[in-house]
Amino acid sequence: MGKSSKDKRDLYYRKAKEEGWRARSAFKLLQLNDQFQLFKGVRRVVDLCAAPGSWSQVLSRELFEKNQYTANDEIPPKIVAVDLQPMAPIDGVTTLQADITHPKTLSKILEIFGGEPADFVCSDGAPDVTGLHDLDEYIQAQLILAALQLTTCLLRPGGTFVAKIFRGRDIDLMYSQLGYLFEKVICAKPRSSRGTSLEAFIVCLGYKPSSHWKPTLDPNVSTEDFFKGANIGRYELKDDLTYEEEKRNVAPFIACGDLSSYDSDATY
Amino acid sequence: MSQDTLVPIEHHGPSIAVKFWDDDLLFVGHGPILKIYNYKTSEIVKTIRIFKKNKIHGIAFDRDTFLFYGARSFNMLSFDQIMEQQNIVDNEQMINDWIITAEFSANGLEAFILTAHNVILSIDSYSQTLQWEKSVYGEKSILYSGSIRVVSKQDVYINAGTVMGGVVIWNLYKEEIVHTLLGHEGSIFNVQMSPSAKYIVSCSDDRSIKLWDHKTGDLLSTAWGHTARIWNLKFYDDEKSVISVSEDLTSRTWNITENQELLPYETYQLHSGRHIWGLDVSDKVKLAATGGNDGRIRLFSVKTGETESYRKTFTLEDITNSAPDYIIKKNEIVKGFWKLKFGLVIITSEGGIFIYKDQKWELLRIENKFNNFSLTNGFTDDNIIIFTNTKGDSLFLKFDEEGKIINEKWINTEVTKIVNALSTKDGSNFYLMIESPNKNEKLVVYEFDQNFEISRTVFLEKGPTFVTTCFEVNGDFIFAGFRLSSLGIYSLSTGEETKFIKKLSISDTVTSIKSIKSDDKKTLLIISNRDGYYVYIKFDKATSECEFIHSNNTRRGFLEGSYNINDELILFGFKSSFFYIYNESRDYEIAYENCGGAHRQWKLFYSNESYEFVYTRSGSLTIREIPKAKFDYYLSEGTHGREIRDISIRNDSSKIDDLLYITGAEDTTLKLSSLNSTNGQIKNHWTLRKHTSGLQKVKFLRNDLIASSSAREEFFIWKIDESFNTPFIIPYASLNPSSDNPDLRIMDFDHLEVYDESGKLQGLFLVNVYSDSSIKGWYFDPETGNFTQLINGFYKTCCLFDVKLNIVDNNVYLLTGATDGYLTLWDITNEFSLKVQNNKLQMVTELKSNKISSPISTICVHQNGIKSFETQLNNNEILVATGGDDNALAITSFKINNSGVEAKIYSKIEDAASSTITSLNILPNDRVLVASVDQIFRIWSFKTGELKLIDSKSTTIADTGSLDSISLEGKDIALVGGVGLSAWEIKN
Ligand SMILES: C[S@@+](CC[C@H](N)C(=O)[O-])C[C@H]1O[C@@H](n2cnc3c(N)ncnc32)[C@H](O)[C@@H]1O
Repeated sequence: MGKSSKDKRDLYYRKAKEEGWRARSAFKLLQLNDQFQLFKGVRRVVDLCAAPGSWSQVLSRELFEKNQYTANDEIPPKIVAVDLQPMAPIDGVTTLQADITHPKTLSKILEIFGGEPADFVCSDGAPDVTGLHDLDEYIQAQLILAALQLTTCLLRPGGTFVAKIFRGRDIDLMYSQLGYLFEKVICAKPRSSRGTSLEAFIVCLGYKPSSHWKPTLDPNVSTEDFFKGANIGRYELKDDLTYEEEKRNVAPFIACGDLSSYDSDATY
Repeated sequence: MSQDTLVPIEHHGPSIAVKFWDDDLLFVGHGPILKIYNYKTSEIVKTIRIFKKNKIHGIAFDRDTFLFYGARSFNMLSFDQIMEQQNIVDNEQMINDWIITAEFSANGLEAFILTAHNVILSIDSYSQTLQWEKSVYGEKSILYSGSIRVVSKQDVYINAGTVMGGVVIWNLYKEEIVHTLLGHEGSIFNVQMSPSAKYIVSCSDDRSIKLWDHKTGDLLSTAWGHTARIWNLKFYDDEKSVISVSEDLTSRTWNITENQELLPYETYQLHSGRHIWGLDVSDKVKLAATGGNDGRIRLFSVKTGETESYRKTFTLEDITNSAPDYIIKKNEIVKGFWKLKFGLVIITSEGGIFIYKDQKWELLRIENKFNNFSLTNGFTDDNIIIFTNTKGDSLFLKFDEEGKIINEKWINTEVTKIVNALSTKDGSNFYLMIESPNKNEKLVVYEFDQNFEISRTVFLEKGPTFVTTCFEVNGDFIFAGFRLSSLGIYSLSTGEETKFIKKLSISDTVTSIKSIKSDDKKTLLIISNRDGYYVYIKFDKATSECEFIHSNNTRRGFLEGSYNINDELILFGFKSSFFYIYNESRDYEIAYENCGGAHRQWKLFYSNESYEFVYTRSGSLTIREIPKAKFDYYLSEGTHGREIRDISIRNDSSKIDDLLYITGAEDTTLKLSSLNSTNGQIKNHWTLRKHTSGLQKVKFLRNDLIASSSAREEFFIWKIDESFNTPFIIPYASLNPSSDNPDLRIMDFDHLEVYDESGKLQGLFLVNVYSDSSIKGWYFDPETGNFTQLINGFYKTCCLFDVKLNIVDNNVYLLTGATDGYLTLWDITNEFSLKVQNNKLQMVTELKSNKISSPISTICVHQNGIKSFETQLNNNEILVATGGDDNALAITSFKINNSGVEAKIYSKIEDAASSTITSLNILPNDRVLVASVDQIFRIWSFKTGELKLIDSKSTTIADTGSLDSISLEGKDIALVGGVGLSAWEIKN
């Protein structure tokens, strides 16, 4: 869904080069943080779909350099970055090359955290698009759900989840389902993300785990099975297979990054 | 909310599913709608909606029970239900996951559905309820593709294509993995098992097709050919062949050899834009059907060996065998040929003349005068052939229907040498043109009749770029085409040159001139040029004026000629080693032949609705027939096949049932088409290939003028000519780019009419806004096509999305919308040289360019990009409807009074859509039509000052990006575009 050839001409691309970020995406996370103070009090993070790693760079800088981590801190910072693609190492970041939609991957990440919760889960994942818009939207939703699966198993109550979305036909289904698990669900568009692209980020604040649903990862459980009984408004398989409209909800939209920041649609 | 204000009329969009059924029916999914075609008659037997929202991705059947599926929906229906039941959508059912594929069991009592998590659900065919689920332990990761092969009641295989390059074959009832086939890279996009379960074929992101042995799981063969991703595969011909369709717009057939190798066979160029999705083959009738992203349905014959049977190749030995006494000389070759009604006549470089008739060669005679060199001309339907040698001798031969010579004549032309001879016909007159290489010797044109009686001989002065390449006679005019893209027009009676046009196109040779319509006053010429351009010229016989009314670039290699058949333009030429015949009007390839390229003897003949392409290659002669297709191999007219970025409908109430509209798309082309507003049918007239990047905007400026803009600062004005049946359109004027930044886009433009003092319309004031924040305005003179810059300005360092011009109280206001969400108003009345009188722009004698100063008002309406806006004037108030990237819809007012401007947001709905609002239109009665990427089409009223939703309907158009509407005699019609196009009626 991205337009890679155009990205190269853009100011953010040049600025990323200057500042040493691996991708212009770094500014998206930074602008999201300007708006929502995502990194406040955050020590333990999972960065999904992380390659080439600019978000991990931002996180590494925030958690290790800025927060002045000291050895006698009770919980040392931890960043785990996962992608299908290999990633060059980054200080303080544990990298894992794996498919996040594969049930086994999530178990591996949980293992790395060794039973401790995370404060923040983010995913900037985008699948290769086919051009069949409904299928592409479904695959994108699966990436988000896979990330959400991990989130429900790992995120501490009150924690934050951020994921890339493409605002297509069924995005309001996603907003509605996330609304069951978080205090606040916002659709945020950083100015560094092109206005002509459908890309945006779903910012989910204040994780509130369900009291009557216990998420469990099992290698034989698909994303669909996983959320069975979670009561988040997802259609569940019925014997009579009746058609049903699921709940939809429009999340509030917030453009972030201040107006004086560069416009990614402009030509300079 | 009063219901049904928005009423869909028709939908044209991608087709993902096609399926043959019975002997003559083809089931086609167009979005949620099923169309059943009788392909033998090209009739649509039934059109019915199957799903509420989802698109039909696949069709399975058992006898006369059908299962339609797409996304999470399915609908199981009998043929009778489809044909007779009213509300079929009520029968729609769903599961909890994406449906990859479905198939009926061997006895038809149940249907299997494969989900995207590799789970099979069994649905009872009678009760349509869920019976059971099966999967393989630990194999529930996501699939991109898959198929089900029901071999027998017990043997059912699931072929699952995963995201990570593996194909998992599992046995349904044993719930066991049979094979995990590794070797592909990237996601598997299709996998099929042959009917008897002997083979498996698969394709992936790596663009290869792999053939596997089902028994052993061994990789048998890897085949390459497609130049982009492959989306669909099918076995046919008793497991001996495979057919594929791809993103690259082709379908290819592949043969499985005795050594179990997969080898490429034929390539069919079928669709436009990008992607072919749907594919089915009928082994019974040996036909394949494809459905493209462009919405077209194509049919073609895949009979093995069929193209071979249409192709005959002969060596000179084969040809001369019939005459045992004929001795082939060293270096003797076939020098020329012409198809006559009874067969083919050829001449060798030694003057041997042979005819090919009823599959047999026969020596006609040997003419020693044509030793070494001869030129061949002829008239197929009149059974006439003419040979000419360098010395000036021409032999005219007329044959009867059996191929016997019934008349012959020699003539001699007195020139030093002949290098060129050409023939043409006008009514019952025949013409032969003879050319010498000597600059000072005139061109000689003979006029003669059936009996070779020469009625006149005309001598023409050669043009400066001589070497004539083609000529045409119409009435008293001779039109001759030359090298260097030039055209000479001569009087037939006097031989005088009446006109000479240099540079019809950029360069290269004029390859054909045809007069396709004419009367006493004018004639319409179609001229093709080797560089790929073709032009239509309206020639006025009284004044000899040549008006260029159409030009276009084929962008497909060398263009060698054209036919006008049933008012459709057929072009032919060479692309690399291929010869192609292309229907340019309907934008599809008719046939191709791999002949090795353009440097050979070749000739294309058309008669009786079939083509014959004759050529020589390494000493042999090949005759390739292209017979008329048995069925219409083009069942439905499509659109671009890429996202439509803008639409403009001409507001011409005299043509309600034939509304002209133009669309501009991501594929860089514009399509000029007509819409029947009653039944929603469309007809494409032209695909215009002038822009070099995806379109931003296209608009009618006047009934006969259109403007279009894109990146690279491309801005073209097009002129329409409707003096013939088909509307013609030509790029008439353009703006020069100001920089070489390829990313500098002209985002939007608007115009006002400019009048002279007597109130007569003179020209246009045009304003463009750019992605680098600049604003530029011009006076455009439609007579000369000249632009004179009047204003330039600059907003801020952000991209301007939209612009509108308004005149209030004799003041001219320019309004912009930008990525920062601000609407900004500029008063340019005193900042440009045009005058304003009675709220109209008036021409002045001297035009100057001015810089516009700061805006007079600016207001933040949206959080970010204003994707679309429109204005409406209410006395001294400019009302602006805006739709934003922030999902909001707003009505803002700029009230203009003596003290200044008062800007205020009247009404704003923050969540007017669940995704970006991409396009809106103000309709009469204070209503606004809104299209957004959430695929919901909405209409709002702002009559009371507050925005109120009147109606909303889901559209099937993905990536909804454009909309236009017009009001005709109380009927409002809208077109919504994205990936596809839909027509709507808006009720009051
Ligand atoms: C836009 S990039 C991420 C950029 C990254 N946030 C950065 O700042 O460098 C999207 C990534 O998603 C990854 N991805 C897509 N599908 C995935 C999956 N199923 N599992 C893991 N990674 C995936 C792709 O490999 C790609 O590297």
